[in-house]
Order: sequence, then C-alpha cells, then structure tokens
Amino acid sequence: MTTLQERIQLYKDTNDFKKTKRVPIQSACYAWQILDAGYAFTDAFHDWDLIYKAICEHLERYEPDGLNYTGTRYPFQIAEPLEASNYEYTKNTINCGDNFIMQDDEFDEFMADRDKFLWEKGLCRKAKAADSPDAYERLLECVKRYQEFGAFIGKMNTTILTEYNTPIRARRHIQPPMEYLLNFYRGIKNLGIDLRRRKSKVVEIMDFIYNTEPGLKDYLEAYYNDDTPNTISAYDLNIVFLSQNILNNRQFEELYWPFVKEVFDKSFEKDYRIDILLEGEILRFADYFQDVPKGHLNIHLEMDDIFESRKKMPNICLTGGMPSTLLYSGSEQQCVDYAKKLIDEIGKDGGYVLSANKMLCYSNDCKRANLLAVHDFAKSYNS
Amino acid sequence: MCENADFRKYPEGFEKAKSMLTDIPEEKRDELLKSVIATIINM
Repeated sequence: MTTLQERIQLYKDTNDFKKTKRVPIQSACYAWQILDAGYAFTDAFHDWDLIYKAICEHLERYEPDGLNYTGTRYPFQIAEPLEASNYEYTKNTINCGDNFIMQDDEFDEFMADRDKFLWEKGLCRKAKAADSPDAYERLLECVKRYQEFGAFIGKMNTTILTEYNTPIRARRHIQPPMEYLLNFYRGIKNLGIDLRRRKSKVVEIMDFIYNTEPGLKDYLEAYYNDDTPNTISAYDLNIVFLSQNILNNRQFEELYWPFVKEVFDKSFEKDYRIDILLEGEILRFADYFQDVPKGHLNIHLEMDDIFESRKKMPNICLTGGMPSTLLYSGSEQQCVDYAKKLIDEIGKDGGYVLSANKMLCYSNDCKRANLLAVHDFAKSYNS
Repeated sequence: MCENADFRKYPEGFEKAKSMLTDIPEEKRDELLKSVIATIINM
C-alpha cells in the first residue's frame, strides 16, 4: 500500500522533473463521483453523508494519488433556506447563472462600507426569502447548515488523509482579487464591460478587495510566515484562475499578473510549491511563466493543448490532458493508448501528472470502465 | 416566528441575527455570520 508521504514525495519528485517509478494520477472527478456512486444530485446535495460515501467509494475504486474534489464545491444547501442559490440542479445536471450582486454604479458604495453592502445588497438581493415572515429563522438554518458543512470538511479531509493515504490538493487556497469580481460581485458579462468602461474603478476595487477579503492579504501573510512543515500536500498553495479568459495580453499584464507575480516571488523565496487550477486557457500567456524556477509550479490545464503547452512551458509541471470525450466515448484500449502517449511524450522525465482535461461533472463526462482502465495502466506503467 | 421588518437593514438585521445565535460564544458570532453571508453570496 502506498503511504501518504510516499504519495506526497511522488508529486514532489514529479514537480521537480525527476524520473519516477510512475506518474502520479490526479482525479479530476467532481460531481461525476456522485453519479458514479449511484446517487442523484438532488439527494446528495442535501446529505453530506452521501457525498462522504461517494468520495470514499471513488478513492477505493480508482485509488488516485490525489483528488481535486473533496466534497466542498457544491454547498448549495447552505443558501437554500433563504432561496439564495444561483445554481440549479436536477438528478444528474448542474447549471449556474452569471453570479453578481453589484450594479454598475455601486463600486463606491461597496468600498465605503463593505459589511453593509454585503448584507443589504449582497445577501438581501440574492435571498428571495428576505421578506418572508420567517427570514431570521431561515438565516439561522443557513448558519446551522454552514456548521454541518464545516464538520463534513473536517471529517472528509481526515478520512482522505488517514484512511486513504491521499494528499490534500494544497495546504492553502486563494483566488486572485479579480476572481472575486468575476465570480461573486460583478459576474463575467459585467466585468468584461467594466474592463473597457471603468478600468480605473476595477483597479481601485481590486486593491480594496485585496486589503479586505479574509482570503487575501491577511491570509497570504499567514501563509508567507508559516514555517511549519507541510505534511498533508505536495503543494503549499493552490490558486484558481478563471478571469484570464476574458483578458487580452495588455489587461493580463496590467491587472492580473502583478498579483500573481508577487505571490510567486514571495512563495519561491520560501521554496514553496504552487498549484494552479485553471479553468479555460492559459497558453497565450505562457511567456509570463518563463522565469518560474523549475520545480515550483504545477498547472492543471483545461482547454489548452497539453503537448503544445509542454513546448511553451518546459519549466512547469503540467497536470491533465486526458480528454473527457475519450473517457466517455472511447474504448478502454483507446483510453489506455492515449494515457500512454501522454506519459511517454510529456511525463517521461517527470513534470507530468496524469489527469482528465476538465472537471468531470456529468454522467457523459466519463465511463467507469475507461477510468479504471486508465488508472490500472498508469499505476504499473514505467515509460 | 420572528418579526422581520428590519431584516434588510444594516446593522439592525445583522445584529439581530447575531443575537439569535445563542448557542455560539458571543466573540465568535460576528465572524461566523459573515462567513455564512459570504458563502451564500458565492452560491
């Protein structure tokens, strides 16, 4: 049986471009895990025990070396008592609308009193039940569910680490300031317009977000000053990238890269390793990553061609590449052949973690037999 | 059932909700409620 520390070392060696006995296998299965375990979203998203069971089953069946989804991505039930969720789901589908709480002319109001804004404009705009006679009771139910969610996270992470010897993706997680605008405050469409019509306000509010969001300035300071050994993950920090998809090169350089560069520089000074979970594309910004020291950065690609990415980012460990279309529509042999091609061409001398090329969420994102065949092959293949 | 006329107002609604978290230590209520609000906004 592979121990937790052996798995962490496998990721570290791979990240360092060292030749390893085999490539690490990272599960990119998200909500698909729930369907694969035989549960409907409509049941599992209201029952942490079902999600716990689905993740345990996934770890037992596929024995990945690491996993992206540990049950934390879909806490819809917390918002449901106030009817405030922007997500819609059926037994086997999930959809999310463009999420935003801030209007075009409310940047200053937000910055003048963030707490007031989040209550009056954030919570109360989203909550369809804010005017119901039992609004406070509903909010208390949200708090109760939030606490249950916290208990679930603690239990799940302990089980993943101690019963399945599987590392947590990273010790800490952040999102660049622009992601708060895109994901929560302004939405994709509005932010796209903001970047052209009110760029100075975007700059101002990102600075405000950096200084006031609990998950940014103070959180990063704690991260930079944390000298305790990381025994739960190969990566010290995970960063989620999404906004780069709506930016041109000039905007990326001016509005996105400076934050990332500072985090990189301070992290690499401490010899920390960073993992970027990418949604969409990054290849057109590959030049910005050319000075990243080898052994310090992993990027889980999504839509970029991984073979082209290897050429343009030879200093970066890459994760992904296994097409979900093949995992669903291909034969077991076709999937194994493609996994072999990935390992031979990208992972021969380290620097590659085998995984799917997108978040596997729906039933037609993957077939069990194909994923099992790929994992079984990769566990014993030494290129 | 609670009277909700002040629910939408800040700080009135926020403070009232905090005061109702009777099984949570007072010094932890503010942070807990803000975390819940952030989670709801993010959903």
